[in-house]
Formats: sequence, C-alpha cells, structure tokens
Amino acid sequence: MGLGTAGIVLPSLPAFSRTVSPEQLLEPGLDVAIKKRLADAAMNAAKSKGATYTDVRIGRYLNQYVITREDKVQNIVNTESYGVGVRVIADGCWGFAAVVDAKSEAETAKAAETAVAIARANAKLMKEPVQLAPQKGFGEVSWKAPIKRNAFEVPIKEKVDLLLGVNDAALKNGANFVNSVLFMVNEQKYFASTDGTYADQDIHRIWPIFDVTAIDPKTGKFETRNALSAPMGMGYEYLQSNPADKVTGITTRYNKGYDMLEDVTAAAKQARAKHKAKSVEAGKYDLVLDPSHLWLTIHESVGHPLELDRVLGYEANFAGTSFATLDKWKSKDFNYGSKQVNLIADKTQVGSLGAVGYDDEGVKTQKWDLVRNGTLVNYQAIRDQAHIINEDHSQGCCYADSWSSVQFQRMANVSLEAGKTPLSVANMIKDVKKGIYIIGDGSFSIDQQRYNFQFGGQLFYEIKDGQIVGMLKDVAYQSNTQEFWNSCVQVCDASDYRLGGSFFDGKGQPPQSSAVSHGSSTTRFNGVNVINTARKI
Amino acid sequence: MVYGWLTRELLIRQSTANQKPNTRTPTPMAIILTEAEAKALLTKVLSYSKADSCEVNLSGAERGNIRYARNEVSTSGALANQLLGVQSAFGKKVGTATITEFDDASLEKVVRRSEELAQLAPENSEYMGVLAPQQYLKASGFFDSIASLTPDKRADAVAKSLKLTRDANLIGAGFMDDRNGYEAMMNSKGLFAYYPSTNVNFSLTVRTDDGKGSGYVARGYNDFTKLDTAAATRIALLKAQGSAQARAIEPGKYTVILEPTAAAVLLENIFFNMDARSADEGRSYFSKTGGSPGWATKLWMSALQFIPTRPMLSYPHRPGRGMDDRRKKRCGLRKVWLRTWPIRASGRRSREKKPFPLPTM
Repeated sequence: MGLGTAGIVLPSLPAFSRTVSPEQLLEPGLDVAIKKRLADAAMNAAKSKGATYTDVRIGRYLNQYVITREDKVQNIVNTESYGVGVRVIADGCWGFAAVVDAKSEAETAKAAETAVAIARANAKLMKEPVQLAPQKGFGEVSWKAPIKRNAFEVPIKEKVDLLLGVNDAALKNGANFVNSVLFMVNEQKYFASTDGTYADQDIHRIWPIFDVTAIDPKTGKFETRNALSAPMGMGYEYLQSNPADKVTGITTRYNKGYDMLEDVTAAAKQARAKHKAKSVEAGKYDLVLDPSHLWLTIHESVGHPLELDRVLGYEANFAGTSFATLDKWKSKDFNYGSKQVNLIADKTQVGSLGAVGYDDEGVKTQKWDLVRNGTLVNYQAIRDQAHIINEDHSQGCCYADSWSSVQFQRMANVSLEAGKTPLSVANMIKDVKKGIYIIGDGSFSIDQQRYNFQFGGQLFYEIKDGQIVGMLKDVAYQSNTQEFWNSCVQVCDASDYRLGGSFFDGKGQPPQSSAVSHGSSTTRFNGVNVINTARKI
Repeated sequence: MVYGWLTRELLIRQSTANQKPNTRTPTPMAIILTEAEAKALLTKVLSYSKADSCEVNLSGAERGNIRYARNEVSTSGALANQLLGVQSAFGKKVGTATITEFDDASLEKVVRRSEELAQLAPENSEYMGVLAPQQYLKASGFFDSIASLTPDKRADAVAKSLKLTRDANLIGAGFMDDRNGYEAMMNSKGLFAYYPSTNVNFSLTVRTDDGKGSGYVARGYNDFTKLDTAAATRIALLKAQGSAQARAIEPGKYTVILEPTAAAVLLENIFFNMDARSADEGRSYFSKTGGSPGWATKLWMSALQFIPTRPMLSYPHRPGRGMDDRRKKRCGLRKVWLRTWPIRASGRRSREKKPFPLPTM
C-alpha cells in the first residue's frame, strides 16, 4: 500500500489484465464442471509425464478502481485477468507453468507437461527433494465470502457520486486538496490437486480511502490526514455504516461499517487543526494505540518476522530476513512480549482480507498461536516447510496473487487477542500519567530483520494525568520489536476489537501482492521512546 | 519451488476442437514484433478510430528469471507478455482501453471501447493532446546477447555465483531477471515510434552462517556479456565477511560515502516525491512558501547530472514513449522531472506547457 503525502500511489494491476466494461465484471466465469475438466486434463498429463504431485489453479481476477481528486474523476479502471497455473513435483523438484485465457483441455495439458519439464531440468540443482506435508483431499467443495452486496453490482455513478461528495465535504471543511479512491476486487479461484480436492472459491475485498491536505499559506507548511477506514473482506455493505459500527470518542472510528463522508469531514478539520497543534517534546511516553494504528505495527513487527520463509533466508535478497530465528523458537522461552501479549494467525476470520476456505495448495484454513502469554510458540508455514518446524501439516497460508504467479508462503491475518478483563479505552486512558494516544497509521521504517523500527500515525493526542489535554504533531515512536511488545501492559476487551490491514502487501521476486488483516483492541505500551520528527538534525 | 515458466506458444490462444462456440478466434502472433510488423498493426488499429484524436501503444516482452536462496536454486521461470492500449479523445474527454488479443474483431472492439469510455468521461482540463511527429536521437538499448539468452546460460551465470558462496562457506540469496522487448506507438497526428530493448538485472545478498555478516550487490545492463556474476559475487562476499565483526556506532553526524548502488537506490526512493504538481501545490518537501520549488530542488539540481543515452543504463532514452529526447539539452534532474508534469486545472501558474519525457537517473 502506499499513501503518499501528496496523493495516493496506485498499485499495478494483476498480470495480463485487460480492460472490460463494468457489466462484464458481473458476467459468470467458467462453469465449475468445465473447470474440473480443465484441471483433470492437466493432472492426467502431468502424471503421464512422471509427476508425483500436481495442483491446478484456474483463476479469474476482477478489479474495479474508481479514482478521484477534488472535483474530478481521474480514472475508472475495470479489468479482468483469466488463466490457469499448473504446479507439479517431478524428480523431487517443483515445476510451474501457466497459460493465459486457457479454455481447452489441450492448453492446460500442455502447461502441465511444460511444468514437468521444468521440474526435471532444475532437479539437478536441488540438494534434497521437496518434502510435502500430507494433505487429505476434500472432494468437490466450495467457499464464498459472506458478502451482502457485491460491489460490482453498484452502479459506477453511485460510486462516483460518493467520492465526489467526499471530496466536496473535505474542501468545504478546510482541506485544500483531497484524493479519494475505491478499490474493489473479486478473486474467483478454482483449485484442484492430485490429493483429491476440487475447491471453487469466491473472494471479495473492498477498500475506500482518501487523503486530505491543508496548507498554511503563511508558513508554507502542509498537514495531512488519511482515512481511518480499513480494507475489508466484505462487499459494498462496508460503506453502509450504522451507529453500531461506530466507535465514538476523541474522533469517530469504524468497525464493520464505514461512514466515509463523516470521516472526511472530520479529517479536513483535523488536518487544519494540526497546524495549531503542539509539537511533541521528545522523551518517554506511555502510548495508547488505537487498532487503526496498531495493525501496521503488528503487520511489520509480528506478521513479517514470523513468516518461516523469511526466517529461513528465502527472502534474504528482497523482503528481508527475521530476528526471530529458529533457535529462539526452539528454546520455548523466548519472550516476544509481555504476558499480556497473545498473537494469533487466523485465515478463517469473517470479514478479514485473508479469509478463505482453502489456501492455494488445498489446505483447509485454520487459526493458530504465534505468541502465547508473551512466548514465541510458532511460525507461519506451508506444506513444503512444515517438516522444518516439526509440524505434520501445513497451516494453510499459501497464496499466489495471480494464476500466472507461483503460490508461496504469505502472511495470514495476524492479530493481537483482546484482553480477557473488561477494560474500556476511557478507563485505560484514566490511568496514564504522561502519554500519547495515537489513531491511524502513518509513515514507518523498520529494518530488514524486523527488529528496530519507527512508526508515525495520523492523529496524536497528549494525555496528562489521565486526561486528553490536546492535539500533538510531529510524533513518532522508536523501539525494537522485543522491547516494544514487552512494554505492553494492557489490552482493552473484545468490545473495542477492530480490524485494520494492508490491501497491497509485497513480497517475493518477481514481486507479488497479497491482502491481509490485523485486529486488535486499543493497547497500552509503557515508557516508549518518542521523537520529534520536525527536529533539526 | 520452480516459478513461472510461460512459453510463447502457451500465451497464444490456440484453435482446438474443445473451444466453446463463443470463444474468440485465435490469432497466433509473435511476442516481439519487428518495426514493420508493429507499424502495420498500429496502422490497422488507427484505421478503426472515429475519435478526434487517438494514440495506440503496443508492447511485447519475453522475460526469464532465476531466484536462489540458501545456496540453491529455489524458483525459476520465464514469462512472455504483449499488450495493446488505445487512448481516444473527443476534445478533452479521454478514454483508455487495453487488450491482449490482436485479431481484427478484438482490435476494433478495443478502439470502440476506448471511445465509449471517452464519451462517458468528464472533461480532463489537463489533457494535452497527442504529440506531433518527433525527431529522435539514435540509441541502442538492444543486445542480442540477452535476446538469445537460454535457461542454460541463465543457470550457468547463477552457478558461478553459487560456487563462490558455497566455497566460502557463506550463504547466497540472489535473483537474476532478463527482458527482451519492444515498445511502439502511433497516433492520429502521424507520430510513429518503435524501440526494441533488452536488459538484465542481477542482485545478490551474501550472509555469514550466523547472519551477522551481510553483503549486497546489484548490477544492471543492456548487454548480457557485461554481466560478470562472479565479480559481483566477490564484492558481496567481501562485504559479508567484512561486516561480520562490524561494531555498532552511536547516532551522530558522519561523513558517508555511498557506492553507486546505494546512491541509485536512494534516488529511486525520492523519485516519486519530485513531481511538480505537489511542489506547485505547496505540499511537497520541494515546495517553498506559497508554492513553487524551493531550496531542496536547487540542491538536487546541482547534485544530480543527467547523462543522455549512457550505454550502461538499463533504459537509455526510449523513443517508444513518444516524446522527443530533449533531455540531451538538460543537465539537472529538476529541469527534467519537475517540468514533466502537466498543469493543474485550477489555474495555478505553470512553468511548463509542453510535455517532457521522463528522465533516466
């Protein structure tokens, strides 16, 4: 993801995308019986060439992006990408081939034969054969995201009217500039493998965002405020907010429904107010972190370092490695955080970006512990990694961003469990003597081992003797992963639990994108080092 | 894992008895078109246009890669792709559509689609129209050494790197990616441009077994014969060995010397923050009070020099983008990049009313 200070940076579209009309986004894909025939043709062809395992992914990826700024519609993008990817094991080595627009059994069979040829060619470079964790077949199954309103069924005009209304509200309430975008994605994925699974899945994601800028012409300085929305595994119903979805307080935040108009109105006023906010005095503070902020810290300092491929060095040349090495896990007493810290991976969470029924190698999705009572207990692993951590099964977090991309280990939804003891945000703040309440995610920096880091935010409020006394600016906190999570002293209860997430999380060479959610309740961290980002160096 | 093997013939839709009646007619065509082939195709596409102005962009590329980690190849693959994009304009109403199929019916359909989108679009006051014919500098970014690259040659290059890391008891993780492609464009004002190019990029991270020492190296060329993976690997080896006992330093002010790779990565990271629109609007590090570029821009102008058509760069000037190479007259990045962006609609003053090509750093 990328929200720059001066506008929204748009991601690239999936491979081989072609523009289509909005109506074509609603046309049905291939019938499931045809997909099964295409998959069987590939699996039979691979077997006849000597493959010991084959999986086939038939994918139709639909995207709609509506992009505006101020009073203009900058672009409306409707794309479709369809194709088939075949992965095999032959001579103990992986092979992969893909074919665009394949609708015949001859085409998928040929892709399978190519995949086997590649596997055989590369087998001589392997030290040991691939060890695949066993997986039972599930037969013909399906999974569909429980959406209430398919975003593609909503007329473009309704979406444009919403965004231009949002922009108008921003400009009327103090913003000089405003960008707003609606990202909508539908992945129609069919998976088949020689284990005996034929899984047909329908996945939906949505992300409404904006950024507003307020300029002070006297000083030439500018302040921004980005949306407090979350990318969700939901349909257009996410934009139908009701009072139960709102978390009121110093500013309104949102749960399973988002009021974009209300948020941008507040954002414009807050961007203007930041000009008069007190610049923070550097030092140690107790931090009260809202879920709209904490998701990013979880993503970077927990989700990434506990990806097993990073731990093992497979991402050393690109995404990075991990400080959370195997020896720390094997010790069974590595204090990742304080006793209050329980971090879980979950590919089943309803409404989350990572929720699916089956992952991209046919494993039924699940939920498991990563950190329990502060101790590192597990990683995120897929079928060919499970044996390395003495597991007899995959955790079901394998993903490819396209039919043309090979599937590999990607981050599950990684979240901080809500506190078991009843605790509201107001009661948490009441006990803080010198603190900062941070809402919304901002810029950040973290090293390639995911250890030393710095995080900013959108809104900062000074807490003195249990009271919020005013707005701050120029705030960023610095820490390292272990020190930070060990400074966690309180987590609010489940009534405050909300999701944040990344719609475009990058990893791999060639790079692939994935979407992942991170949940938490408001959480307190004591004695964290805060710097003033406006200081002169 | 072995990744992404996609052969040319797999990309091209094939005629088979199993195709359903509504499946589009297959149109076998090479991924890399010659200049004459590209010109003929673009001429045909433009003949379907009914818009006030029309621009058609065509590209094709064949890519190959090898990824390795923990001292063995982990993934490898090849990918071929071709894309045609049509931008139609009625006045300042602009629409764009893309397609991956090149039969006549599909070509006409994509033109109609772009025209429909243009008619539906609101006026874009920043639209600057299509370019008139241009005079281009000669440049050669195409080398047969990459165009004829085979999986075996790719593997040999990586094997040289792997041998060095294995022999040194260090751990290598690297990626080599090569591309052979072309870009072509034609518009309704008579501009035609065609540019074939090749490039290869190699990057490697070498680490000590305990992870305390690490060295990175990256190289990029248009000509595969210039890529010496062994020499590059030796640099990463030295860095890894040399940094294993590195001592931590306190924060403070130091003189820092950046090797070219580090300086280039730094440039990449600031590249997208150097747009003129944000500077004009007063919401950029490069703004000064009331808008327009400030001191930081001048600093960069003096620090950065643009070298046109430098042969070692992965992308020397690209006439395929359609703009003439006025970069030869420019010596500062500011004068290229900050002037590239179009005028904002609200009427803020603009320093530049003509389009400029993107710079090469």
